[in-house]
Amino acid sequence: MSRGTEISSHVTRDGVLRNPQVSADILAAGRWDGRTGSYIPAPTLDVDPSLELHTLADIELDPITYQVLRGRIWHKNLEQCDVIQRVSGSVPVVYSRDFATAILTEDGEVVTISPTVCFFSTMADLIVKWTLERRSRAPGIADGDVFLQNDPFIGAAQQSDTSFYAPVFWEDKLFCWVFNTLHVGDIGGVDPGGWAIHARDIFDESVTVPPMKIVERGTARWDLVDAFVRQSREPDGVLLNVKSALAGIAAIRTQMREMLESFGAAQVKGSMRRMIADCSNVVARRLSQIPDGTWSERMYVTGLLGERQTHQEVLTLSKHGDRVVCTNAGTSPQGGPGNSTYGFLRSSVVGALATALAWDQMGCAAGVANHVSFEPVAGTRSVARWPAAVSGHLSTFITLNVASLATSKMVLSGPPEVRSHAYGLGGLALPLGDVAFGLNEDGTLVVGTPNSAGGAAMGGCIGAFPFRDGIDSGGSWWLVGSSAGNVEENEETGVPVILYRSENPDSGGPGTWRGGNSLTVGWVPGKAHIAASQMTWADPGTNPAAGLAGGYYGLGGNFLRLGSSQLAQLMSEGKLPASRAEIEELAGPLTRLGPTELVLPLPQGDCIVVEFNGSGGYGDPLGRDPSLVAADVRDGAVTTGAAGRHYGVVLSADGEVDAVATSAEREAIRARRMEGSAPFDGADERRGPAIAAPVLLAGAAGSVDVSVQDGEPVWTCSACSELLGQVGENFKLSTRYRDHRPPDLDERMYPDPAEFGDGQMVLRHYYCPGCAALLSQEVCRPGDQPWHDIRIEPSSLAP
Amino acid sequence: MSGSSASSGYVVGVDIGGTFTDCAVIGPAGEIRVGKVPTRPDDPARSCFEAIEEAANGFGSSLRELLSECVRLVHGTTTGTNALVTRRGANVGLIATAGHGDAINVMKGFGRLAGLSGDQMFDLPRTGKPEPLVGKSRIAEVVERVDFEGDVLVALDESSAVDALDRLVSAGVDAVAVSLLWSVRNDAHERRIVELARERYPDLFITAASEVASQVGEYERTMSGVINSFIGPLMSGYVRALEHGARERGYRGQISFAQCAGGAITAAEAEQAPIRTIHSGPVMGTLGSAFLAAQMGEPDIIVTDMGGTSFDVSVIRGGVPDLRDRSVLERFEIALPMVYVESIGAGGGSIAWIDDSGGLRVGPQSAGAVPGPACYGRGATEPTVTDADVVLGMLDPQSFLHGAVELDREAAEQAVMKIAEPLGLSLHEAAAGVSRLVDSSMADLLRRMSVLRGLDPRQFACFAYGGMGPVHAAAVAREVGVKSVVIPLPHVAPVWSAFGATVADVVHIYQRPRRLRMPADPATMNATFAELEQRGRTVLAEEGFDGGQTELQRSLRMKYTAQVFDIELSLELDGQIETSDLPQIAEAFERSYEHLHGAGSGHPEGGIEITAFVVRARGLTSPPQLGAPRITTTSSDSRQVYWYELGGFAETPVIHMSDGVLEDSLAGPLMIELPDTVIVLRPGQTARFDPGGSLVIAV
Repeated sequence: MSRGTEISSHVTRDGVLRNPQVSADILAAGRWDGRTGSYIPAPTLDVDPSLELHTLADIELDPITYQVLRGRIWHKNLEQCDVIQRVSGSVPVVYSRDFATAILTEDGEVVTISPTVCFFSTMADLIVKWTLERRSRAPGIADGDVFLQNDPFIGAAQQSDTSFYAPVFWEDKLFCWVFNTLHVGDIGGVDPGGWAIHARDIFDESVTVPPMKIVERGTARWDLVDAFVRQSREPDGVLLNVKSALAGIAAIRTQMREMLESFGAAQVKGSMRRMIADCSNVVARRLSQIPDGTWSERMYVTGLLGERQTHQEVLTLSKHGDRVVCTNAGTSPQGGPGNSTYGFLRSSVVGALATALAWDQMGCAAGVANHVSFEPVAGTRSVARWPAAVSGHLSTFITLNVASLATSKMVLSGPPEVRSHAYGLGGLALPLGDVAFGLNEDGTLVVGTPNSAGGAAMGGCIGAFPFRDGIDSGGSWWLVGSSAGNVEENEETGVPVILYRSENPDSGGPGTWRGGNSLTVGWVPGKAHIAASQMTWADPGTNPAAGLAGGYYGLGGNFLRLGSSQLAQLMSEGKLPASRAEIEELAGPLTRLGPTELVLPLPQGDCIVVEFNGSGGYGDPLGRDPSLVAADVRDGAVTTGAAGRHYGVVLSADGEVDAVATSAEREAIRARRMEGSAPFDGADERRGPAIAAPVLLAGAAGSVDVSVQDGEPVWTCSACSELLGQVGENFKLSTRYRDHRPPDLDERMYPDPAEFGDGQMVLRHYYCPGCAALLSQEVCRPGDQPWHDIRIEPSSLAP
Repeated sequence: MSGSSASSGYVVGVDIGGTFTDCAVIGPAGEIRVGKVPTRPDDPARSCFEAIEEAANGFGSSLRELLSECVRLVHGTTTGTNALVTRRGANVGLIATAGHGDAINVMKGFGRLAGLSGDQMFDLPRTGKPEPLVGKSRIAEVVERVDFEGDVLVALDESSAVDALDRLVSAGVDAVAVSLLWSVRNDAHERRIVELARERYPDLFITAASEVASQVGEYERTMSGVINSFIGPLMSGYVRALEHGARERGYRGQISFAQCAGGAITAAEAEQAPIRTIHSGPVMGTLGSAFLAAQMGEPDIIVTDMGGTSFDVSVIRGGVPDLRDRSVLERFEIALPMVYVESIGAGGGSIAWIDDSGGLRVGPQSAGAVPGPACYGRGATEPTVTDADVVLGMLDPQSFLHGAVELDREAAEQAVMKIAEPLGLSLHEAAAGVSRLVDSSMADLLRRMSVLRGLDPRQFACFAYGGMGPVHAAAVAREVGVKSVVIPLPHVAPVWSAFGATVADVVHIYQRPRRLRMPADPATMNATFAELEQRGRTVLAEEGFDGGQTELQRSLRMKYTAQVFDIELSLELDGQIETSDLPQIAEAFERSYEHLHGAGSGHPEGGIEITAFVVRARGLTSPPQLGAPRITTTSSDSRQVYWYELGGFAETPVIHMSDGVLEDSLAGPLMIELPDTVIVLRPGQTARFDPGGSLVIAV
């Protein structure tokens, strides 16, 4: 039997994870108990001896039976999704797919997750392990039990994301766990809907429930369910979702038992362990093909609500061999609404690594988790201590961003297949959503589809890859399979009349490969008695929609309002504006809204326009094939203005590329880059003219290669081979740079951070001193040192 | 169209597939003859007549003789599907409400993943939207707006509609779809634009989206309209060529076309709404199964069809196939009532491969018809399910497809060795592994269609047909635990969809979306049904069905207010609906919802509402009277076959027969070789022919 070549000591051969999540020192130093601090399990779980675990596993089962069972386990987990969707039938579950399912081993390792909200199910191991440690004694864990929990300090992004999970017993021993998490809806707190943006601490937020047994040996504790549902402003909806979660658990549990009857426990468990071992082996092999090094991301974000305080979030991945160590050191101290916890940090990193390294492993998160450990710094925005406010979904989104970006930069130095899994940030990079709601004449509340009028936030977009464009309105990397639904389904509530919902030209970041465009929506109040819009957002001036390899940031995002009832009159005259430009032409200018404006009663004829954040491009836009730019202009994806401004492409009146003029324009842009930029101190000592050195790793830093000079690895520009310093150093220090006021680059794409947020923020471009190619970009403050995002360990490079 | 009795002449069913064109003819005495010829991609109409000719020869008749005595010719085609797959349709323009023309590009933000399997969804850079059928430059917007209650917010600006039409035509479109927001609640603007188009451009193929798809949800409705226009001009040409060809060859009746919602439609309707013929082949197979199952006294069956590239499953309960309203077609979501046929990429051509973790996988990639499996000897070297079956001895290289294709056993063995070596298995172990894996993934789909929808497979018989169906059905069925496997009329099974076409009634579906909270006003309900029924009666009368041959079936689409899924509820009531009937309707809805979605799935707390009224107008055709099967003569021998449940080879009896039935009870392991398929009885299974001529395997 062959299982591929095992290449590393860190691969788990028996599917049992040995990687401690954190070192013994870290574990000893903090209170990682799920109370004051986030929960982090020790490598050996403290399970009450009265609870017997079914550990027998035939990992060497025959390869065909293994494949049959592997497919079966995967399908059973998907079938749980089917049941949840069918029974819930609610908009967030069916359209937004705001739920996830997983199957875990008896000791809480995630064997498979559903292609839905990745971070829900990659947190399942923490939840189950906490339950094993803290509930096995009392009240005990028994056949027929189902637990509910939504405690972010154990494992939840926010309290509305509630988990339901159950042990499956076999021969009186705990054999495995079946699990789901649903966004159940509003369960209290100062703000309706669950994103408590006014919360000072967790006590202002939705009800927090640590693992609680709501079904006891097959009998539902409706008293406890009732206590939970009672916290909600929309109890019917929450109850519906609780019922669907329980139906999913019941269905999958029955199916697991049938599988055990057919195949026997040893083979089923053997397959589960083997899936983990196989995934671990694949991840190890792919990691080992990447040179050792450190990849780090810093992202600034200007806070929720009116707080103009800017936080920074840092995430650093250090890779050695087939292991990754992750730390959030450098992240701002916790404070204000919208912090997040260790569980979320870990699930983001495991999710990002799984997307980049285990795309073909049937969602086996444990096989990925086996290769990553953490050095969490507590008391920060991304690893907050209780009782920080956590439900506002700000640090969560930013954590996903930095995890994905750092991972993408790491895989850039891998072989082509691995490298192709790098991508710019895109849909839902910025928490930017609004809920349209209203009152009927009888006073009953009607709520439009959550996540923005027209569901458009969920439309998302995918950033560019190293070999292709991103995907227009293509959803999000972590919210797999979400849908914006139809405009008609959104209007059925009677709250909004959606004037337009379309892909927003130029919202995808320019690049050699263009970032995907996002959606934009304009809406006016419909027949509901009163219409209002509640917004949740951080300032888009501090742009999170980063590209790669010098590709531009996508559109930051925008909320605008007309502020008059002009449109009612216009529509009665038969006029129907169908874009932001037409609204402004017919009804007057729109006003940009700041994050302080949260709830807006909206009179008839007034209008809200939302432009969701776009996605990042890949590579210097001057390197894009001009005919692709012409095609984008023809399709309305890029405006003629942007074609000239960012791509340097000049089009004739009939839309064809004017090759001569384009060439001249591109030269002119390069000249302006050189003119407007300056070198860093000491750059001349580091850099040097183009060298005729063999390239060792093409595109290891995106637009920068690793080459060999005098036997030493050095950075060289991919376009012109200009020497950009030793590989152990930050190549950016050898470049020329320029700090741009964001709107100076593009007024539409980059709202001015000075208006509502942090006026200091600039968009810094790094140019090759040899050919003026745009090599990298970052949002930073003028005095910031260039962020050392890519460090490759010279000794790990083969000569 | 005539509703005349079938017993006076021949009834012909044809199914034109991508590879083969199949024909089944029921003769005046109820005897069935079949034809199977390769499809001519450049002239499918010719293949149709060639297939009929082959069947005619079985009756000792010429094509002309048979067609001149043919009372009904029903035809299923993949012309539309193929045009879509190969993107060889019309140059379509779209007219949409101002501000919403982008809906078909946005694809609800889900288009990147629609139609992909779950594990494909994780591979981010390999996901993407399909090539659009309508480029952005061919989308024109018009000024008009209707709201969710059908009230006009902004009247149609006719000049903007005319401008849109002119612009599209001058851009070179040869077909247009008009799809406006909320046209399902008020279609006046949509109809007016179609009128304007017909006045200005009488030759332009035009579709009003709400005419082909009458559900809320503009993306699926628009896509349905666009696809209809995309395949429209091609189908018109094809329908006319077929009608002309049939007349020339002596057929005096009208041709009807199988439709995806079950039943048949007239040629005129197929020209106007060709999208209804999409996937009609598999649907006809389901209908043929329902017909035969009713004769066998089996109201509940699971229907499976395994061919070269896919495995299709549908479910029939109480004699009625389950329907669905939304499906994914070539990665586009559409809204069209269709018989619910779920499909996975598992067929004879499915390729076996080794994944990155060293594990064996089968499909979804397929070797297709060309080059086909390695054993076809056309140069392919990747191992497929068919190659594995050859290695195991399930398929005899000498007698595959009448012996028309001689299979290359050595090529099959070489291909399978490619996976055997890295797995550390013997040739036969690896082949058995491929066979077991494909059986297992088919069993997964069967379970998903039954157990996960609250159905107990032990209550169901499983019908199995298609070229590879009888080879694998017994193993799949045993794994799922259905009560029996039926190989329906084994000599007809390889052309089963064509047989299904012969039993199709003409069915028109009329739907009126109207949102009413329960308890609804009976007067409104009665008036709505009356209007739809009147339309149905008129059209059927025009088609030559008299009152006795007309059946009007009412149903309501209903949903729980708090939930998004609406379901169709058939009503037994055909007189006036009274207030006192309403509680029964609500209860029937609740039962039906749980039936479909599982116990406890309904959420009555938020109330119940009607979303649409539906009338199915059926022109009844006399069902064919099948003759009693005759006891057939057979020859038999034996060969070595590898059985994975036995872990090795066993000398296995092989019975060769061409049609008819055997008297004796049969016991596995056993193979029955027919001209176009092989029936496999696994070790320990028994089987016997039923009085109607189908083979029933006890699982």
